[in-house]
This record gives sequence, C-alpha cells and structure tokens, in this order.
Amino acid sequence: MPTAVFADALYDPETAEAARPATVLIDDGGRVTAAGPRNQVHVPAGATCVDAGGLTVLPGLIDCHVHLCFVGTGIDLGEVLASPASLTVLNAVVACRNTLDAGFTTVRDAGGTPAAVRMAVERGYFPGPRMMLAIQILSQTGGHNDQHFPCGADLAWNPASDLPDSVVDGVESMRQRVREVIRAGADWVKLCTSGGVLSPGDAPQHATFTPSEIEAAVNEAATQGRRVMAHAQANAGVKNALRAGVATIEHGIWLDDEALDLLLGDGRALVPTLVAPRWVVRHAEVGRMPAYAAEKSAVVAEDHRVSIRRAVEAGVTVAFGTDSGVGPHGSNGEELLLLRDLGMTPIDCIRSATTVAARVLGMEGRVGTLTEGAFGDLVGVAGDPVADLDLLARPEHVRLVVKGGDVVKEVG
Amino acid sequence: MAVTAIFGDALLDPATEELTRAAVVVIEDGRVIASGGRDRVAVPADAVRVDAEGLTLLPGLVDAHVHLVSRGNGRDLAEQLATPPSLWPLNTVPATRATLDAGFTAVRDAGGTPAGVRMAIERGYFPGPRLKLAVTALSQTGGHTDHHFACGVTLTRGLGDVPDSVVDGVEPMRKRVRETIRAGADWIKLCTSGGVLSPNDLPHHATLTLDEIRAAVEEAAAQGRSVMAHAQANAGIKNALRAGVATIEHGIWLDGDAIEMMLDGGRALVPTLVAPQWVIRHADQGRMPSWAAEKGRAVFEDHKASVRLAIESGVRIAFGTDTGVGPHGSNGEEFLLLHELGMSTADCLRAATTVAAEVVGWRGQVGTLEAGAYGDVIGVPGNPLEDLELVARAENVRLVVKGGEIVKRA
Repeated sequence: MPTAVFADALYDPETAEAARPATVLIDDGGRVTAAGPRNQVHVPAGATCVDAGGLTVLPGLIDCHVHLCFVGTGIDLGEVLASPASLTVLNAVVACRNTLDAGFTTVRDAGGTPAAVRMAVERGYFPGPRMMLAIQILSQTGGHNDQHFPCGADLAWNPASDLPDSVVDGVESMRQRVREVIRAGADWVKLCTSGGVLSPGDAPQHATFTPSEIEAAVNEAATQGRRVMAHAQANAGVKNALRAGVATIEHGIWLDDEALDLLLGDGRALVPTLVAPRWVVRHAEVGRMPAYAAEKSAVVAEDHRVSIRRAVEAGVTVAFGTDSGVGPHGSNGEELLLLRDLGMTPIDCIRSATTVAARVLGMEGRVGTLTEGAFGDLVGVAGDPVADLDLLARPEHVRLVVKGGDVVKEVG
Repeated sequence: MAVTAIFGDALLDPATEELTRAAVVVIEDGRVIASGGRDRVAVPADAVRVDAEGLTLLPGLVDAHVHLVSRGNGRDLAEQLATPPSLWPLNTVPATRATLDAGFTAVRDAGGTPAGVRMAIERGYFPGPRLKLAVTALSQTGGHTDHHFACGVTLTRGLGDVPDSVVDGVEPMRKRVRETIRAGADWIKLCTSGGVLSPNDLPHHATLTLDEIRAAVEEAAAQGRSVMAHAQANAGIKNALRAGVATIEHGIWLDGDAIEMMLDGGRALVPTLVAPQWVIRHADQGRMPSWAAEKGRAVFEDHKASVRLAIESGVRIAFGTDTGVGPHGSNGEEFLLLHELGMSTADCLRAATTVAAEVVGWRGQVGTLEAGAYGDVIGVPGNPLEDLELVARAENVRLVVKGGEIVKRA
C-alpha cells in the first residue's frame, strides 16, 4: 500500500516555496509518486495515512561527514583500550537511530564504518539512514589516521577485520590500497591530505601525502566511478588535494584566495564541520579528550571560522557535514546554526543539507528533494524552518521522520 | 530507580509447581524484592504498576545453548562467502530481540558471539537477554569447528576478538583456553565429537584426546570456569565426562555407562532436540549443504532415543536449543519435544528455569522470582503446567520484563 503524508505545509528547499496544506504520496517501493498542494495530489483508496497536522514537511536532511562507529563522547583512552572490535561495530546501532531521530535520513560516512553496517540496515536489523561509505580513512605514516603512539602501541580506533589498513605510503601502495578499500565496499575514498586535531603525532598545519600519491588515489578511484574526499586542514594540503582532483575538502581550516579559486571549480565542494572542534573543546572540559587533541583544537578554532566565512562569502559550494562521531550522533543539526552565524542565509543552510549535499554526493533527484521518483524521505517540524532554523537544529524539534515511506520517528 | 510492581492473575513457581492466584511481583533496582499473593506482598505507593491481567507470571526462561551470531536460516554457502566479518556481531541485534520476545531473558551462548555483544547490551545499545558466553567453540584439526574445506579454503568468520577455533595438543589447548577467557568467556566450549553441520567429520567419532580435554578443564577451573562439550559420539561423551566436563551438549549416543557417569558427577545434559529438526527443515528448503542434511537425517532417531533414555534415568537436563541452527525466537519448541520424550510439563519448565540457572551459573539470580533474583518475568495467558504451548511459541508470550523493564508487551 502507498503511504500518504498529510502536512500543514510542504517546503521545497530548491524553490524556497511552500505549498499548504500539502500531501506527499510515497509508493510501495518507497519512492515519491507525487508531492504538492493537497488538492493536486490524488491519494488512492487504502493508502496508509500519516497525519502531519501542524507540521511543515521537507526532504530528509543529509550529513556529508559522519563516523557512525565512533561514539561521539570524547576520547577516553582507557575506554578505547578496553573496547573489543565487535563493540565498535555495534556502536553504529545507536548512532543510526540517533541520526534518524535528528532528521538525517542520508549520510556519507567518512571512515571507520564497515560495509556490514549498511548491509544490516538494508536487511532491517535496525533502522538507519541511507549511507555512502568511505570504509577507511587513509593517511601516511605519522599522518592523521596513523594511531601509532610513542610507546609503540598502534591503537587502530576501529580494528574490525573487514577494514583495510589505514596507513599507506607511496604511489603503488596507494593504488593497491584504494582498490582494497573499494573491494571492501567504499562509495567514496577518503584521504588525509593534512594533519589533524585528534591524532597524536601530526599537526593540522602540515600537508600530508605527496601530490603524486593523491593523484594516484584520485585516478584509481575514478577508474571504478568513485571520487575522493580529503581531510584537508593545512593550506598546502587543501591545494594539493584540489590540484590532484579531489572532489570535496573536509574541514578546510586555512583556505586562502588561491584555494578558494580552486574550490570554485566544477564539481568541488567544501564540507566545513564547524561543530567538530566545538565538541573537542566540550569533551576536553569534562576530561574526555587527551591533552594533545584539546590543545590543537583550541589553536585552530578561530582560524576555522575565519576560513569558512571567507568561503561562504566567495560563493564556494558548501555541503553540510558535521564529523558527528567527534560529537554525539543526533547533534548534527547544530551545524546549521554555525553556518548561519558565519553569513549563510537560512535557506542556503537548509539547501546545504538537502539539494546541495545531494548534488555533491551524486544523489541528485533521489535525496534532498521530494520530487517524483525521489526516495520517500522526509522530516516534519512545527513551523517554518526558514524563519526559525532552530527547528532543524535540535532532534527534539524534529517531530516526524519518514524514510522510504516508513515512519521511523513520530512524536505526538 | 523506581519500583515496579507487576500484577498478574497468577504466579507460577516452577521449583514448587505452586500457583498463587492474584499475585504481584515487586522489583526494585532491577531485582525482585517480593513476590506472591497480593494480600501478602506490600507494594510501595510510588511503584510503577504493570497490569498483567489475564496472565500467569513466571520467571523469565533460560536457554543454555544458543548461537546469537548465526541467523538460523540454514547454511547458504554463497551467503556466507559474501558476509563481511562485521556483519556477524550485527546479526545479534535481531537475534537478541527475537530471543527476548520468545520469553528467554537469559542465555548461554555456545560459541561465536564476541564479548562486545554483551557490552553493547549492558550499555543499552539494544535490548537483549543476559548472556553467558563461550566466545569460541574449540575443536581439533578436522573437527566440528574446523571450517577448512577440501578445495583448500578455510571459511572462518574473521572476527579479531574471537580466538581461533582449531587447536591441537595439550600445551596449545592450555594457551587457547587462556586466550578464550581473556576474550571474555564465562564457559569454555569444546567439541569432543564430530558434528552434523561440519564438512569433514562425523558425529559418531570422538575428537580431542582425553589429555587435551583434561588440560582445558584444568585451565578453565583455574579461573573459575566450567567446560561444556559438544559431545554426540558415545566415546566423545565419555571422554568429556571422565575429564570433568560440566555439561554434555546434544548427547546423541548415550548408553548406560555414560548415563551412570552423568548421574555420579551431577553433570547435566543439554539435549537441543530441535536443532536436527531445523537442519532437516532447512534442507527441505534447499538451504543446507548435502553433507549436513544427510548427517542430520541419520542421527535424528538415535538422538531422540538417547535423550528419552536420559530422561527415564533421571539425568539432570537443562533446556537448550542450539538456536542459530534454527531461527532465534523459536526456542520454545524444545519444550514440546522434551515433553514428547517423556518429560513432565513441570520438569520441562524447571529445565528452562531453576535447572538451567543452576547448571549455567545463575542459581538464585535467574529462573526464580525469589527476593534477590533479577526482575526477569514473563506473562502467558494461562497455566503452562497445563498447556506447554503457552511457552512454546513466541506469540503466546504476552509480557516480557527484564530487570524490571518491560521489553515486550503484546
């Protein structure tokens, strides 16, 4: 039976127009067959009716940068050491639920989540968002995802045996590793072209990987229809990535004019994850962050905001992403407020998490929209989210979440 | 934490077979503080009241032999080859839910399930029964858990937190038992005979030497663990019993001597009668390799005769199903099979409550609603002593409470 959602209003992020009252009709296959003003949508007899009275519905939100297997409660090394691999995988069960509850029905996982999590969600083991996966975060020896500590221990954060190794050096090795990551189920290839905040041995200001290593990854990914996302904070790391043909720049802490010019090129996008350093600071305040990470985060926070503000002003394509897994899953929406604070209009904030994110992820027309043929993924909030962005910023404000025509959250 | 009071039409104590009408079970901080007739049990004014009208309450059931990582839909080798390691622990999410829904609030997992699953349930990631884990099932080269195939491939599950299952020799056995305990095992599981689902062995051959089994029993005992033995062959059963194994799983070919040994040492049998039934059902659907289907059919009648003999001889029998061979949530069917082989309904219920609790190491904690036990309660519409069907099918189990929290209400 099809599902019909009856709402006070239907908001289309693409056109910034609202139809009211509105109906969204979703077929048995979970796809939208019609969406618009109630008098223009014919609802077949016997359809399952979802009453979204009092709510404005819009397409389910998209987060282009999460880590579903990370808990998001800070780094407690004692806890990391006492966590078996299978527990790390099971972290995704809770993360998936909380992500949906916050209205995010599609995510790109930026590494650490094995393909089995997607298989489990598709088999209906537990509810979860649609996901594109990077599987593993590749970095050089001593880079952002080399969890080697001076004592000699290697603390692979997620040692599930179906994740290829994270550390790779050299052009030929990179080609092979990218092939392994794709074989393990990757939709995207994730590289660290700079150091980062949470890692023990590197600095976010330094570029990592050579341009030829990055190019090898981009070419190898392209051969099998994948693109590359780069954890890129250092200016040189951002530029190396963009020159080598990387599609999305994650974090982008030190963008300059030249980097912005490169980012304005076709098919490039920035995923700011402004909320991530905030969570590092919050975790540090409650003693759940090693000193090396807390110190690095304090140093980059202001530069990060300045960099993203410049990118917004320059008209760079900004896709919504949060790095959730650094912060707790379900807190994703806070990023909308931080983007607005840096000069983005509310409608552009919403587009970054719907139409823009869908385009950047190559899922245009399927997610981030409720036009005919799209997945029947929608959220309902009690009011106009453009007038009050806070309605999408907190999971408790998200009253209704539908994925593929199935109600996955409904608050009476 | 608030106090919960569950008001049922009746309360059945499997130990005494006593049925108390108009009963209440009071649970505080996850433990029973009182249970009995409403006229005799004081219910605190601030208690959360759970109305179980029309239901008979009894302790949550215990299954002493399950495999939560296995789906229980047969063995499809193409599916197995396409299963990444991480999917195995994720299989436990629906399995633990279905187990609870069938009224089983405590299980002993006989191998394959890593300790991370128990940690996840304890953290509240998803609902599941209380768990005692064997983590891995140890067998010799070519034994029941050696997944090496003639083509040269070994189909292990590849989980980094589950120790290797194949071990040979006394010294390697000691070390492997230590590794298994380090990985979180409450029980050590050995295969002292071949089995049905495995490609290279036969259920009527003994596996592991007496010395190897003894080494495992000693190492386990040194850290307060007991050993459970997959033991189908007569010689495998006797080797296990001589070496000091606590529970015999399956026990397809018991004879008078073996039964005497079991009675002497107070050892328990966990029959899992329903497992070969599921092997045959899966085979009928084309979801079982031919070697397993043939072995399953060949042992079926002998298994029943052996368990009937054990029941008649008064061997202590703990309820266990090998669920994971069959689908999770179908556990209760075993009650009907035990009953068919001559076990009284009261003994069937005790097998899955007091007896299983004592055998598995939960005495006074589960399988009873005495003060101090975990607040694990199920409700069924009638007296299961008169109708075992009430606990045999998940749909008849209307209420399931674990640690004072409602996990199912139909």
